[in-house]
Amino acid sequence: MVALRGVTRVFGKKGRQVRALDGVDLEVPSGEFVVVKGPSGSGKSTLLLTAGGMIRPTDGTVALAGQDIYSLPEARRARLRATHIGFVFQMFHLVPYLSALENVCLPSRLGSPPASRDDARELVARFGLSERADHRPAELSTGERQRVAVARAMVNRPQVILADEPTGNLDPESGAYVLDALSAFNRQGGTVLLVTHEEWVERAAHRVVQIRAGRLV
Amino acid sequence: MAVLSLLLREIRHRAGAFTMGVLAVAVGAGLCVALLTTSRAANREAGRLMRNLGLNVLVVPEGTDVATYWATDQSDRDMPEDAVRRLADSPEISADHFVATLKRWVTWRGKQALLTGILPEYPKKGATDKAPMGYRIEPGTCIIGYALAMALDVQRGDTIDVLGKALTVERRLLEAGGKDDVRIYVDLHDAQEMLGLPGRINEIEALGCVCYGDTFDTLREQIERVLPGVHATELRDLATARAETRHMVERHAILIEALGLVACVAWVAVLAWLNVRERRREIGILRALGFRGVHIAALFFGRSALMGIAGGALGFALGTIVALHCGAGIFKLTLSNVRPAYDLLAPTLIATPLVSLVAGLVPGVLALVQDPASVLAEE
Repeated sequence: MVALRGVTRVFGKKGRQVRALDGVDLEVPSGEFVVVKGPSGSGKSTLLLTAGGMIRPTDGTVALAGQDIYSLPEARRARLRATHIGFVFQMFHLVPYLSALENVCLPSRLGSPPASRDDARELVARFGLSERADHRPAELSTGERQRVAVARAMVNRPQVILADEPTGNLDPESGAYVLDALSAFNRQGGTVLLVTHEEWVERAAHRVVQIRAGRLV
Repeated sequence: MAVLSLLLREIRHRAGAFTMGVLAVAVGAGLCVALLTTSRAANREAGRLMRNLGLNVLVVPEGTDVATYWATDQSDRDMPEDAVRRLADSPEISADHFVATLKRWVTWRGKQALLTGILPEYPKKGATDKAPMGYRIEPGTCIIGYALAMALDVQRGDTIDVLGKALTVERRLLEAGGKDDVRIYVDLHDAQEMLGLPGRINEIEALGCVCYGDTFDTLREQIERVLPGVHATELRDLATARAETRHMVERHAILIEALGLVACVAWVAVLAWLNVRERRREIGILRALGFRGVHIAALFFGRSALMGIAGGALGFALGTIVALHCGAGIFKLTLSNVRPAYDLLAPTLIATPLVSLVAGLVPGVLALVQDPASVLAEE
């Protein structure tokens, strides 16, 4: 489903360069739940965003469903993200002026086919947020915010969810809720690539990969 | 969710910031509208004030000794009264307010008086109806200068005899500090009768074009083509004062408008930049969700355009109110001419979104080129 081959990403200018990813080869087949584990600054987030078409690698290729995504123009890559990928971030990144339901609906028009408001409402209900559907992010607890973010990632029925420390800011109960939601998505055939530094998250994974200084070990 | 809906939600969410932006545009637009509205009145006012200084073109008959004219303030030659009509009816003449005059020094009750016969102004053919600049004197009446009236104790309503003609004093002039103080203004035809010069005049006064940079030579050539042999002179001090004052007023208005516009653009640009900074994460997540550059551009430039339209409408209203309110105190002579410039509404509503877009251009482009990954990776 997701294949990174020889991916290197270098940040900074000459003399002050940081090699965030260094020749990474990683294949995540369809339906697999892979956890990439590593300490802070090891290149986890860069790996995830590179896999999601957000950071162009300095070297190497990234394929999604067999398509080299960085060979596509930006507009098609954006479309691919909208239709194939769901993102979940540690900081939730909800739009502050939209309600929980509207945040879930946010990417719905970009889906193929576009998700309906009823689909979004059903997801909100499934994540136990029906009572909070009209609340803005500032009025939600951190756990609820992350549930909204996961629901938003799923609204367009993506093939893969890329999750960056999705439980990193949550209490154990909320973290478990989010991890269970991702596991459920995976059980229904979805692919999950999750990066974290937390040990307990490994329990949901089919495979755990370690990353250190931009290299998979 | 549609981009327009997102745009409107964001505006509602950050209503304070948006209102500040609208106010910035409104102040800029209001300043321009107020200045344009009042500058029209200011032009009319300056024109009227300058016109009150007097006519600035003098045409004297063929054969006039100009040196003697300036020494005596009269020409000893004359020309047909019809000359004024010929000038006024010539479309190529860039002058207006033609006044036919017959002037002679006379001795009246032992005093030297400048008998001045004038006709009402002859309007330029095809010109819009302009208010007359000079005096209007009815036959059988006169206007008498301050010095003569004081010296001979002439009062308004008195009947005086000048060269055998009985004239009713219509008005005594205030002290002018010049030839007007020893003048007796009468109707031209009365003066012709009194001086035994029927159908004759000895000068024409007019108001020359006030176009800055125009030389008088052009007007002189035009006049001398219509009336061969006459001598046309520019009363330079008046002409220059008129042109320079009007230009000063215009340039000052342009300067203030330009400064106001720059301040408005800078204000809107700063607000747009702050908006982009505040929304870095939002831009990042929208990108991650699959929103394209065109969507992001629509969000930011749409916001700028809406700000411009709202600010333009508000600015037009504010500017008009300010112009009408302040104009009443400033433009005493042309007060009735300070009126809403509705013809500025459409240009304002077109220009303000464009100006707002220009102001938001750099921040908008920054939003487009910002690396979404860098903010999304922030913890």
